[in-house]
Amino acid sequence: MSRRPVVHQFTAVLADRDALGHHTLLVDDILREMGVDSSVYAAHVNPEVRTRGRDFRLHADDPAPDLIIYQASTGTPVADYVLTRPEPIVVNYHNMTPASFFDAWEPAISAELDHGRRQLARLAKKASHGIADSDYNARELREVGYENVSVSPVLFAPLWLERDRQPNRDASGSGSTADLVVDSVAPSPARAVTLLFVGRLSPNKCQQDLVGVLAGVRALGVDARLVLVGGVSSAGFVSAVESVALELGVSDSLVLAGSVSESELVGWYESADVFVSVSEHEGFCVPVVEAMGFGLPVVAFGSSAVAETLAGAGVVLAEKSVSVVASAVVRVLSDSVVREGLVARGRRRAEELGGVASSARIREVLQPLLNGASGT
Amino acid sequence: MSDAESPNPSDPLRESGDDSLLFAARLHAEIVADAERRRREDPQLARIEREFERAWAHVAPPGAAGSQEELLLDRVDRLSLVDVDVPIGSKPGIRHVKGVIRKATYWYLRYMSDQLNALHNVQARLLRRMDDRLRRIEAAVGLDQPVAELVAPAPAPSGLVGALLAELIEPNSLESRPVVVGSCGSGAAVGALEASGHRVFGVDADSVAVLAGIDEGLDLRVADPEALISGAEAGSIGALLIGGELQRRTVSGVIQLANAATAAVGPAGVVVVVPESLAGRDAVDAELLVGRSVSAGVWARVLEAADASTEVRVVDGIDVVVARVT
Repeated sequence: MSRRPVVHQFTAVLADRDALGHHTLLVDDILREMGVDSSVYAAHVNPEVRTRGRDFRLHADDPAPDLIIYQASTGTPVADYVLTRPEPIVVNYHNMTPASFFDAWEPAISAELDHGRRQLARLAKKASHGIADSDYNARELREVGYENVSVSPVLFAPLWLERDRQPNRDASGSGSTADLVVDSVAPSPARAVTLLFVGRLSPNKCQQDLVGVLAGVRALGVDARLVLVGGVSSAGFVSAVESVALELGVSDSLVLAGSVSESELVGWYESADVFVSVSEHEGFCVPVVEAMGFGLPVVAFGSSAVAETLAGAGVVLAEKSVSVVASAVVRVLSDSVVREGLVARGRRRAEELGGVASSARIREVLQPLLNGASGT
Repeated sequence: MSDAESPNPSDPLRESGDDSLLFAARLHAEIVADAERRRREDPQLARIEREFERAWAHVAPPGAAGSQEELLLDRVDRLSLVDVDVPIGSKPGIRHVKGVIRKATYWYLRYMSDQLNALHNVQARLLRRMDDRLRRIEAAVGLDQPVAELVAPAPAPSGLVGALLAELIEPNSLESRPVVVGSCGSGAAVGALEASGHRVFGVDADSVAVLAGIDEGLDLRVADPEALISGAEAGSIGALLIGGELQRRTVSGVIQLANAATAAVGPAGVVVVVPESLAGRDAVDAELLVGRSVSAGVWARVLEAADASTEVRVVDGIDVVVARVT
């Protein structure tokens, strides 16, 4: 009887509230379904997923795997360790924010990201294969020397489908626990329109520009509020965003929701009217897909991989001045034909990226790598 | 806001085409044109754009919101008592006041810059003095790590030595056991052994030294080579090459390592040692490393005491000890 192939995944941080953690755990699930003896190792394993991962420092004492999959997203000692391993290595690249975004705000993060890109280039010499979330990420891998690169979208749990499966929902889709959670946290003023962005408060995501857009939308006669959901990458940056809101006179209409639970996140998606992104760097942008899945029209600055992820299912802007983004938001809010068209296209796109197709694609990419590693 | 406010009644979505990208491109063009119209017609929107740019430049750190130089100048302008751009040459009294303020400002900023420079210089000098003192104290109490930092690193085994070991290994004698190179550095010897078709890996405690070899695809691992050899099961290593920092030890350390090495390769196994040239050390290194590293002759005698037959060969001008475990 042949032995089950053994695969060890490595990542910097294993957490349940981040896209990389979700992806790593879903890949772990898929590998097990494929008959693989799969384990996850990380430098930091958050308590809520401690049963799913081990400290990578213990790896040297464990039986050697047939294949290593390294989930690359930042600079980490984990990559240095992976470099010293003799087993075949596959790098699953989720992009790294260019360090220049953090230079002025968080030099330590900037150095970490620079280090991560150097590690990525070193891994190119040793890795047998690269997997990228998007064509944008694939181009970056090839630029640093990866020869065999496949594209497979990042895996995530489609929250909108989970929501649809909830019991006790009425036909309009309201009445969920999530609605109650959000209403209790930050009730919307009567008739106010909610602009939503989900993502860490981070210089590359440019939430300050969204504050400008909020002021612009209000100047165009729309009673609006801006909700920013996500943890904090730079406290100084958050403080600056709040100061800009104060100076523009819209601080009362800005909601910083912070890092939220899954049910709260669902609530924010359900209570919003439009998803707006002016981020200057995204390797894929899961929240855009989630927004489309929840039936939100998306207005986004078409930087990095954003346009590729949207694929025409949202308003993709070539510039992000206040007047252009605010005009786009107002157009989407005011023109029901445009809005319904975007929502319909968005749902189809979310189905493509968040459904079974992405799981099938990662299986398709992994199978020959497993065959090669186990010699079958 | 009602649908009647839609800026363009001939919206692309009202056409039956289902090409998302074409739809998105046309919608984008309409939005940009609409924004341009609003910007022209709505002074409030243009004002908000300006206010936003100004507010962000005010709160963001230098370099975070565009050109650093422009921002710094902008900041200086905002803080200065005198607007440098306003011409007041026609008013002699005010011109005089402005000139005094400008010179006073220059003097004050220059003074502050000099003070800061002097402070940084003092800090740097004090740091250097403190570092020197600590280094002397560490050397005086005989701590190994500071000594290792002060001396030139021992050279890792060369490709020629790797080739010598490859020749010495009897064909098919290793079975599945690997060849190990201790203190492999960037892996020159590992590369030579691999080129000869042997399953080989190198071990080095220096994670930086191994990177160049890893980049070339060699199997180099970051670990303490002495711990690896001491912890290896008897006979589990096919052949062993000892060089670099691993051979740089006291006589008692050499004896321990020789016993561990012969046990790890087992009967008929080969151990090759590349001792550092003691004569090649300069006077400072010789003093700092006194008592560390032994000659090829001493290695040979110690290995013989550990049940090996030995011979000394000269490779590239260096005495190399070849030991076969009996």
